[in-house]
Amino acid sequence: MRVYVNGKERLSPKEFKDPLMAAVFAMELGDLNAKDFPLMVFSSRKRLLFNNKKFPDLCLENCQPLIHLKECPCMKMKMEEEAQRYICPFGLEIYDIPIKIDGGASALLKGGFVLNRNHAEGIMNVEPLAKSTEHGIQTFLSQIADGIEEMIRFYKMRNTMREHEVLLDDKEKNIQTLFSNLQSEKRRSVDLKINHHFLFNILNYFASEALTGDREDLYSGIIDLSKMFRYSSGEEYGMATFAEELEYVTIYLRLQSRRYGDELRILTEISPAISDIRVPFNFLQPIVENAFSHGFMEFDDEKMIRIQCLKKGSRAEIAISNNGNMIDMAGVAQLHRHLTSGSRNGLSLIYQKLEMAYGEHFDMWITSSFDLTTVHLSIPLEVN
Amino acid sequence: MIPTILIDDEPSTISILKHFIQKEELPLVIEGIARNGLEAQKLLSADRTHLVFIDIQMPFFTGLELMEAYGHHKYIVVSAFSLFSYAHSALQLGAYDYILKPIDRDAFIASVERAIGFQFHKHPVINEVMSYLKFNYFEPCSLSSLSGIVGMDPSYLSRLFKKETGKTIMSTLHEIRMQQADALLKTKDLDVLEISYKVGYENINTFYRHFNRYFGVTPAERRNTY
Repeated sequence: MRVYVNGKERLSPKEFKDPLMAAVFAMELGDLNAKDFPLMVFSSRKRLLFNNKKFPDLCLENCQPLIHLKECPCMKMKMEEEAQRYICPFGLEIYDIPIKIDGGASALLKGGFVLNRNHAEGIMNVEPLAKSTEHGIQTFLSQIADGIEEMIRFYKMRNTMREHEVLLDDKEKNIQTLFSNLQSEKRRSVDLKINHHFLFNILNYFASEALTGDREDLYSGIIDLSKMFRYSSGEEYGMATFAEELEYVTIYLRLQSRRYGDELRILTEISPAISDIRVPFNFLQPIVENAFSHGFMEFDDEKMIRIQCLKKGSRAEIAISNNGNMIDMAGVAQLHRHLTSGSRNGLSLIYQKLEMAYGEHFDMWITSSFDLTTVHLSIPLEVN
Repeated sequence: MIPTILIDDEPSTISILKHFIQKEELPLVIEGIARNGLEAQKLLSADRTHLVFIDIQMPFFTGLELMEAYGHHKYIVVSAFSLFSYAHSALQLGAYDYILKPIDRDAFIASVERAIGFQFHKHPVINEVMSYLKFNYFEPCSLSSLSGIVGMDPSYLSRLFKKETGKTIMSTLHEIRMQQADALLKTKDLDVLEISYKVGYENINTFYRHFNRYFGVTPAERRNTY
């Protein structure tokens, strides 16, 4: 919408970012321009925002405030909390009324410029203003100030609502995006399973070849591998039992043992009491894998992995250790920082999984001393 | 030996199943192999109950369709799909198990045990006797006929069975018959006389006697509790 005021194109109210500007604009549209006495609005930065240019002859003859705006003492503004009344050197009464937003004065309405009764007596042909008229002008100015305040509140509220609308819109869009992501994830998951169908049929073929060739060891490896695929392509965001997680790790370690043979020693100490507890799906194996990918990187000595899972009171204490490359104190500190950084890799992903499942009720930390590097976990036996 | 049918369009599956049946000396005898739904249909239309290993996705008919059409066999589904909907349908159609490809030896053996209703014994002869009894309990049966079937001296077979299982062959047979009779009492389709014939007793008094010894009540009393 194009809005014209006095023949000049102006912004329409809804385009004003500043509610005060919007209120002033509304005044220009109203009949305040036509009032017989001057009306002005100053911003808190002393900018003249509105002026109906109805200065009395006395002003125009003596000060010409429109031309010498800065010289005219009446055009000086002082931000006061209360309404002010003062008399100019030529006997005009000026009223300053603060426009308050959020409790403080943030603009000023100036008006009046009527002849003070005491001064009027000396001037020819001028009737002093009746007290009631004087009072009427003051009331009128107060009402305008109140009106501006109302409008400012209105515009502010409307702006807030519009921001909320935008937010809601964004949220709506977010929900829609999430929903369609979920749908495509579901499709992807089914697609994956269809593709896995091919994979598992091929593995079945290899398994049959291994058996016909009397390669039982190869057959077992193929079965382990396919069990790993099956498990890791399972319920990606769900929970599992600790026993299932441990079985998965066992299969993984069996495959690694195949690769490393006698070079790899595996020690386990598992308390049967924690078999049935619910834990985040696939939280254990990545920690063990981490030991291989970091602990045993370029590490040629005998490799040892130790898995301890013990019940202590109402908690399960899990420690996964390797005798591979040690990490110095600065490295451990850095790892701890990375854990909580929300990055999409390694141990910090595990940290996020645990955080999602247990909130603040878990601990995860790393130690590297006495030839062992260990990832420690402490988790509650019960999930809330 | 338990008559067995293998149905799969993948030769590798047939090969693995055959390998395990031989290697583990399971009391299964392969009576037919089908490579698609049409061939399978011919084999499954036999009246005699078979143990059937069956794939789901096959040319002409799916395994699930065949299972629905020929409900009198004991099925074990072998599939590469771990889709819940498939497993659910298969089990609803009465499949004893749903095993995944590539076929894991332990899962395979457990599924057969589940289907034939007893755990495999290390002694192949015991497995053979057990599977004969499980599949032919309704036939007239004696120690001498059994010893003929497994090819072993009757008194030796009798002692071996008692030693390995702690029970005699005949008490094991009556036990299987009682379990079958109990299942039939539950369905309430047949009267007691019919049930008696169906599980292998020509003389109803013998049936009553064994029933009372096994359950401690008469067949009618037991049916009333269902």
